[in-house]
Amino acid sequence: MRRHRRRCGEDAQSVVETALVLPFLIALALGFAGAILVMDAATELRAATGLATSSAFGAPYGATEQALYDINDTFHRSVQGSFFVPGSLHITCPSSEANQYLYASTYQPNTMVSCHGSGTLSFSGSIIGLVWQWPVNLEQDAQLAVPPFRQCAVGVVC
Amino acid sequence: MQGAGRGDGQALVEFALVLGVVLTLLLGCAQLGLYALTRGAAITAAERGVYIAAGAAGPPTGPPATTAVYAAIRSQLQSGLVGATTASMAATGGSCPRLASSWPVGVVYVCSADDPSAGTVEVAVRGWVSALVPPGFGVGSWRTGALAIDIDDVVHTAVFAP
Repeated sequence: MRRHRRRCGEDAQSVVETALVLPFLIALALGFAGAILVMDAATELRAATGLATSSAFGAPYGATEQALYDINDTFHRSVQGSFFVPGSLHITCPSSEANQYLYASTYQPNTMVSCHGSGTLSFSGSIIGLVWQWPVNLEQDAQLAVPPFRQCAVGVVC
Repeated sequence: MQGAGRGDGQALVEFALVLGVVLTLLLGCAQLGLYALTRGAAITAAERGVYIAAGAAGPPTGPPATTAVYAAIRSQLQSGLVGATTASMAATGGSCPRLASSWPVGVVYVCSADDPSAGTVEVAVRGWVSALVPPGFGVGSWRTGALAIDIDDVVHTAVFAP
């Protein structure tokens, strides 16, 4: 009788131990998975921001609206990550950061174009969201040198 | 004697149960790592390919500027693929075909296309790579035994005012 009680006690103990350890293992695996997906999304955002910045030179100089459209279009078409929150992807090339090529009235060959891409990741729709319960904001910067020569847009004095 | 035998059997069952869970977790983590590595290689290769395509503007009547992309990024892409090979795929109707479940597992296709009317070039790296575990974690697109690689980069090329 005593032996039977001891045996039941050991069984219960192993069940409790398993119940304690297993959630930790699962949480560890999901945390690892989330971290890898965040790094993957950061790589994708970096590539898209770089490509979008290079699109600034697609339109003739002085066609600022067209250049900004190209930047935005390239960025959104080059990011496909399924965990990005819809509408959270943005790219800006602010005039406050000396983007003379985009905003100055005269051609500035020896300058840089600087853009910032950002997006928010959310794992709430997947099992990884059990561990990664908070949204992750990602930001990437890209800087490219202005080409030495570029045609001016019609009506623009260079 | 009988009690000891029952105890051994119980331990075996417990071990088998825990081993299944732990192995699934371990293989899942390994799978995710490999998948991230493959995707990272595909993203980098597509990025390089689209720069090459954009910079290799040919004459309007000559061959498309995008034909050199596959040859240029093939070795870079292949070095990052685990258990998959690369192949080129032709664009249809001015754009690259979408990923389909009928495509073979273990082949990643590189496609490049230019759209002169929009002034864009596109490089797509698409295909299915083998999966170690049934992927049901909501990680990207998947089908039985395979995970999707679906990278599509676009860039606006230089246009000239009349």
